[in-house]
Amino acid sequence: MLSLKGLRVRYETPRGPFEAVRGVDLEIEAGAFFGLVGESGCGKSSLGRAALRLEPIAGGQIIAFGEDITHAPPRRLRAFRQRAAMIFQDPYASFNPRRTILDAVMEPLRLHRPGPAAAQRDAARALLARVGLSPELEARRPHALSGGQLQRAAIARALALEPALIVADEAVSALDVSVQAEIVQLLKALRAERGLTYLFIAHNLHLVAQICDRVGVMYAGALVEVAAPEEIFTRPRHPYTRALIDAAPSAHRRAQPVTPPRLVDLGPASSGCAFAPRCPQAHAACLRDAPALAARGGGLVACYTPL
Amino acid sequence: MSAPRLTVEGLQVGFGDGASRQRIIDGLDLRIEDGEAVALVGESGCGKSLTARAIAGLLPPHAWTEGRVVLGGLDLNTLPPARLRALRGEEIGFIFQDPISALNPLFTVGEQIAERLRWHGGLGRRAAWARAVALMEEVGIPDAAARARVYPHQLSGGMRQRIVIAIAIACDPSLLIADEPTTALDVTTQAQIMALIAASQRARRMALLLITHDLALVAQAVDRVLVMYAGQIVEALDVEALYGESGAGAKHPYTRALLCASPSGVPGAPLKGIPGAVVTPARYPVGCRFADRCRWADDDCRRAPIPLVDGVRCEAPDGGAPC
Repeated sequence: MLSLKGLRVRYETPRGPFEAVRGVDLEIEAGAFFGLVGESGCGKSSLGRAALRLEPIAGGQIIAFGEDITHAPPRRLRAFRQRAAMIFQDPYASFNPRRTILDAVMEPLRLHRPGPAAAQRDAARALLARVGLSPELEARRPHALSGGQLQRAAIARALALEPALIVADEAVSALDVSVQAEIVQLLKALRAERGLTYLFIAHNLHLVAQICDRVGVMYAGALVEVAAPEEIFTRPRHPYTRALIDAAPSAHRRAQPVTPPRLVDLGPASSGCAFAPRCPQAHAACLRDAPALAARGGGLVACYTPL
Repeated sequence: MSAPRLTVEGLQVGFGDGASRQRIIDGLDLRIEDGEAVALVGESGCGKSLTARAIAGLLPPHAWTEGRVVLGGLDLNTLPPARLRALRGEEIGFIFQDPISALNPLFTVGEQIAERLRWHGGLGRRAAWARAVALMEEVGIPDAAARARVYPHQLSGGMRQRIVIAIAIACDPSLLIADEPTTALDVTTQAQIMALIAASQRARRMALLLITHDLALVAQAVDRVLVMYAGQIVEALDVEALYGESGAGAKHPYTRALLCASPSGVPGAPLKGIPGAVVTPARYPVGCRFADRCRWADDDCRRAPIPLVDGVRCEAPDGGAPC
């Protein structure tokens, strides 16, 4: 479905180039609910956006639906983007504040599926109904909806062109847990109905472990571990994954007194493993060359001395 | 038994007057002993932050408030404004959600800690600076003497929040109020900041009121949990009751639903949302405010206000595993 090979994303900044994604290999199978976790600045959002060609690609390949779209010209890109959609964290920022909800959901249809307006309106209404929004909301503008309602509308809009792949970038992070759980249920139901594939980007490890069927952990622009959630949670192999799990509080267990991971400040990027400066078990080899992802147990881990 | 450090009785907070008068917090009572840590938990709009601000006297000017707030035997409502301001700086430490807006971008972090000590602690310039550096060491800032001379924007989010904590504890307050102190931070930083708050609360025997939307955070940091819904406390329980046997001690349907909506990290385990939306203050019903979202609600729930009995505001409290 989606295959990234040695993907690199580089931004030009006033202080010189900054590489947000540093050679990521990733395979997402059709129908997967793939969770990508990591802390702020680890490059997970850049990776998700780059997968849809929304970021400058500095190297590597993006193969989607069996087609190399790394350098696809605008016409092919337009076709690709009808099959892949994105949902963002802040729906208030991703909707035009002056247009109604119905209008916003109709827009992709207007642009990509020319036809009678009445048919487009019916299709948009059906989508709004499917995501659980009552008809009286369709004439409202975004600010008149709650965060949860507007995120439902964002899902309806993302579904308008019947995509096969959806990249959800922190799509439930800003919501209250009671609403978050409902949106997650909706995403799962839609996957079953429409055979969707998700790249679900989030920072909440517990959430991702609970709902995804495969989890990737990112650190400083690189994937450090990919495995099934059972594996990641019960037996993390990478020291960074271990630190993340130790730090994540749970609402369901009385945790031990907090033992924050002993992580030192992030040093400058070197040729070695990016996590080495903070890693409790780093040794000389880790500082020289970055380890590549290699099979271990049922997953992949980028570490010379996996746990 | 000694008097509690903080007593709040019949607290009401609202906005507007005349026909547009709206009551958001509705007769809230709470007590916190010296050295006790209590969490006020709830979702957006339940009034938890407003409660914290009312206790600390930090309400916006157009808000109105009624009820008693007693700190260490002093009724804050009866104090003259100047005495109240002084007391607030000395006896109540406040940690805000967003350290960037809590700090002044134009002064170094050392100056901002020292300022608190000079105004409220009565220290001279040199003594205040030395104490500020010592406080920065206490909150875990490496190379504190040098870092005291930097501006907030030169520090990471976690380091900034440590500065806010240093300011909050500078004058040895007896009550520390932390309003979503880690919401803006990454998970590894969050763990470090929560550990720091818990450690300084215990070391200094402060009363702690932690305001959070995240049930997961309270597990580590507090002794008692107050669950808020639509301007009322709906359940008060020991943290052990909440976590013993996966939430079996929680009795209010809202607390139980909140537990089931919180991610557990168990692969494949169902995540149950709460249908419907929180009722807005303008439409608070006479009876139970959760009734419209509650599976078990019946006519009895809607007839009259439900009192908080044995720590639960419910006509038919439940028990056992919640999810």
